[in-house]
Parts: sequence; structure tokens; C-alpha cells
Amino acid sequence: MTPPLVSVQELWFRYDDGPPALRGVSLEIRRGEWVAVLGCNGSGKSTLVKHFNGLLKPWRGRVLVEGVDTRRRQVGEWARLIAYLPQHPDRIIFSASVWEEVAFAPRLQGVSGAELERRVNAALEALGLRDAADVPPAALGYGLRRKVALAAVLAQEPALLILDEPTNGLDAGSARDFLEVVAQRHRQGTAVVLITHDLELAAQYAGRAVLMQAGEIAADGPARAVLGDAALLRKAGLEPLPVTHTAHALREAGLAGLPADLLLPEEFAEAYVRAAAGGGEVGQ
Amino acid sequence: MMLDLYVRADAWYHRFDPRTKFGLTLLFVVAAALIRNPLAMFALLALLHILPLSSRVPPARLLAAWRPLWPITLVILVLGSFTWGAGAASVWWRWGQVSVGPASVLQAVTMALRVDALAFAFSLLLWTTEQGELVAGLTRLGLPHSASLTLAMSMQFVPTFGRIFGEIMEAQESRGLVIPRNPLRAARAYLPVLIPLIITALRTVDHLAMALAARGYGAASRRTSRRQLRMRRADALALAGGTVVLLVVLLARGL
Ligand SMILES: Nc1ncnc2c1ncn2[C@@H]1O[C@H](COP(=O)(O)OP(=O)(O)O)[C@@H](O)[C@H]1O
Ligand SMILES: [Mg+2]
Repeated sequence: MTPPLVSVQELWFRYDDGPPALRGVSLEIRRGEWVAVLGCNGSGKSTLVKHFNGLLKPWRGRVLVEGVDTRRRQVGEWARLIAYLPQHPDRIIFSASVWEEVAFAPRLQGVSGAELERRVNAALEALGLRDAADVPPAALGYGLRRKVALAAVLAQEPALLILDEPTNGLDAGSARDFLEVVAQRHRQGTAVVLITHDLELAAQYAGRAVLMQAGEIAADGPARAVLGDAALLRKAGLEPLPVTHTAHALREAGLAGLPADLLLPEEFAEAYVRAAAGGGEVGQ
Repeated sequence: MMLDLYVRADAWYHRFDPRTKFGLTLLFVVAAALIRNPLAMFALLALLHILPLSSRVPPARLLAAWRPLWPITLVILVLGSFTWGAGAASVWWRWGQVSVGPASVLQAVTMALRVDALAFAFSLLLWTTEQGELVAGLTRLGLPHSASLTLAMSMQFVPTFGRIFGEIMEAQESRGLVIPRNPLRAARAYLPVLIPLIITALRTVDHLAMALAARGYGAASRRTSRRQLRMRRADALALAGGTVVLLVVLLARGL
């Protein structure tokens, strides 16, 4: 059996002389998965994912990427396997043109010629940036700079794409557009680790959810199961989705036949219509 | 507050009047500017580590100050080691007009340590002085309040830029950037890190100016103050002692 893409084993981590930010975390990321990492501020989400490509090194325990300990290589050497999109695009942007910016990472992997053209153009195409190829990226507006940053990490063509709260500060529509581009790559086989506060986006895209609480994993399982568990989410400091509340209240009020794992408004609407029309009676 | 470098502590250096701390900072700056011997510069830098540590500034803060500083140190060391033109008598390596010799290397070491010492002199001031005290102190020294505020705020950005530097480093390493061991190549490899830092600095200045204007800064003609400053005997002693030590060291050793 091939080793998992990332294997985290009994990981403890602390910043300088602070308290432990991670306390004995174990998990695996396999090829092609989409994992949502949830948890309130300071629960250790960023600290955890920064171990996946060696940006942080374990204090205790170990992290293996394709079976190799991250301590054995420099961060830059994992770039062909793992890409990390920082929240702020200005941490990335430095080149004189959008095209050069997107070409930076593949060039460092030794990609050139036709293959370089293909990678860069595919990434620009995916984000609708073809017309901006010659523009200096720093001169673009914030929304476009975010797109350039995503294009730059897509061009790495990694096996795993790590996104740390990529939709913060985006309106719902832009957030969806942004994740649709990621979803397109996911369908081509790229694994995705998505840190987010937005449970609805997690419900929509992730197959699996990892819930962090005070440096520990509070839950790790199918996204539907974790996201639908109101008690678990509240205990970890997160507010369950509105649909979970409403469905619960309706069941309490006596509406039979409403499934327990509804998350998204569309699913709810469909199930409600079915329950209210067929057999189910709304109580007094 | 995001901008704050201040370490809250009731420790000896913290307790000085802000004007005393300005005075001491000035002494350190003068010393850094005048010292030409690399060993003496090293001693000054060491002192500027001992002072904050003894006043309960955590070692992690000092390390954090070094993070953005060491690539700059490296660049100065590399670039400074070259001499242009005919140059010194003793030369280790020469390529056309460019040469490297013991004199140029020593000079580069001194220059790099000087930049580090200057950074630590200001860091010491900021670690031990609240922003409000900084502004009050500068105003009492005769600076207009707006200038004091601008100065204090820009100094408080130092830690923010340290953190941002770390984030840029993480982002670019994740894209495959590897900083080579060869210092000549390393200096060039830092470009993808230094350029975003400069762009971010420019954007920040822009935002800061807008934020201050939005809060009505500059609208009121006279500002009120609620902060009282007092010089104590320890302040006078520290200033006088510091000046004497600096003068003696500089005069006696001809540094
Ligand atoms: N650079 C840092 N230095 C010191 N402590 C940090 C640093 N980054 C995060 N922490 C601390 O580690 C804990 C986990 O932080 P983080 O992983 O950023 O949480 P999250 O991403 O879930 O918001 C928090 O208590 C935070 O204060
Ligand atoms: Mg985070």
C-alpha cells in the first residue's frame, strides 16, 4: 500500500516558550480527499496545517509526507507535492507581471518551455486572468490579487493544496467562485485541506471534516456527521448551521419524517416539502 | 493592539521616564555611529541584549527582532565585503575592479553589527515604553503632537513587519524558494521576500494616513493630554552615567 500523502503522528507543538498549541494530534491526509479543518480562533488549525509541508517542525511526534519525515528536507523541497495559499495575497506577490508571478513556482521545480506555458496558461485560464497576464500584479485590486495568488499556487500542480481561510473578507458570491476553481482542480485529483469558519462552504465542498478544539482533534469524520452534530460544534465554540437549528425545532414541534443530517438550505427545502406533504403532520 | 511592541512589566528599565529612555537611546545611537572597531560594536550589541533581558523582556522577543534582521545583516556583510577600485594593499580575491580583503571584510562586519545595534537600540525603547508614554515624552521634548504620534506609530510598526516578514517567508518557501547556503546567492534569493515586504510597507503607510484622517486627526486645533511625566533620581543617574561611560570609552580607546 502506498503511504498516505501526509501522516501526522502524536504531534505536539509549542511556539517559543508558550503553552502547547497542539496536544497529541494524529491524522492522515490521503490523495484526492477534500478535508475541511474547523475550529474557533486559536484552536490550532493554522499551526496544524503548517506542519504538512514543514513550515513548522514538531516539538514531539512526527509528520511524514509520502513516508518521509518533514524534518529531513527543507520546506522548498516539498513544493512540488504540497502548496500553501496564505490568507493574504500580498505575502506572495513580487513579480513584474502576472505571468511571471504564476511561473515562479513551476520554474523553481525546473519546469520550462512548453510545459511551463501549459501550466501557467491553465492556471490563468481557470481564474479568468488571461487578459491580465502582462499587468504588474501589485497594481491590481484586492480581489484580483487574491486570484493571482491562487493561480500562483495552482501552477505548482501539487498533490495537496492547503487553503488557510481563503474566503475571509469575500462576499458569498466571490467565495463560491473562488472555491469553484479549487473544486475544478479537486475533480482532477488534487487533495484539498480547507481551513474555514464557514460551515456552509465546508458542507458544500468537503467530504471529511476535522474539528479542532484547544489544540486537540475533537472530531474527525465524514463532513455531514461532524457538521450536523450541534452539541459537538457548540462544545468546540462553533455555531451550528441555521438549517440544523430549524430542522431540530421542526422535529421538536412534531414534524415527522425530516432527516437528521440536513445541512444546506436546498436540501432542507426539499426534505421539508416532502415531509410536510407526504405523511408528516405539523403538530399543534 | 496589533501595533504594540511593548512588553508590560514593572521592571527597572521600564520605570525610567520616557525622556530618559530617549536620552539613553540617543546615546546608543551615537555610540553605534561612532564606534569603528568590530569588537567594540559587538560589545555594544551584547549590551543591548543584556539590558532588555534584565528588564524582563522575554528572549522570544529578542529572537523575533533577529528574524527580519539577519537577512539584512547578511546582505550588508556580502555587499560590504567588496571594494571597488584599486583598493587596499592586502587582498584575498580580486576580479577586475572588484576585490575582497581583510580590511573590507572587517568594515562590512562593523557595518552589519552597527545596523543590528541600531535596531536593538530602538527595540529596547519600544519594548519598555508604552505608545502613550512615547507620544507624551516626544511632545514634552518640544515635538508637535502630530509629529510625535507619527513617529511613535511608525516605530510601533517594527514588530508588525517582523511578523509579516515571517509570513512572506512561509509563503515563498511553500512555493519552492530555498535560501542557498552560499551568501552571495542567498542575498539574491531574498528578493521574493523583500519585495512583498516593501510593497506591504507602502500600502500600510497609505492605509494609516487614511485611518488617521478618518478618526478626525488633524481636525482639532488644540489637543488635551492626561499624562503626567516625572523625572526621578534614577533617571538623572542613568542619563549622566550613560553619557560619562560613552565619553570615557570613546575618548580613552579612540574607537
Ligand atoms: N507565531 C506565533 N507565536 C506565538 N503563538 C502563536 C503564534 N501563532 C499562533 N500562536 C498561538 O497558538 C495557538 C493556535 O493558533 P493558530 O494555529 O493560529 O489557531 P487558529 O488557526 O485555529 O486560529 C493560539 O493560542 C495562538 O495564540
Ligand atoms: Mg489561523
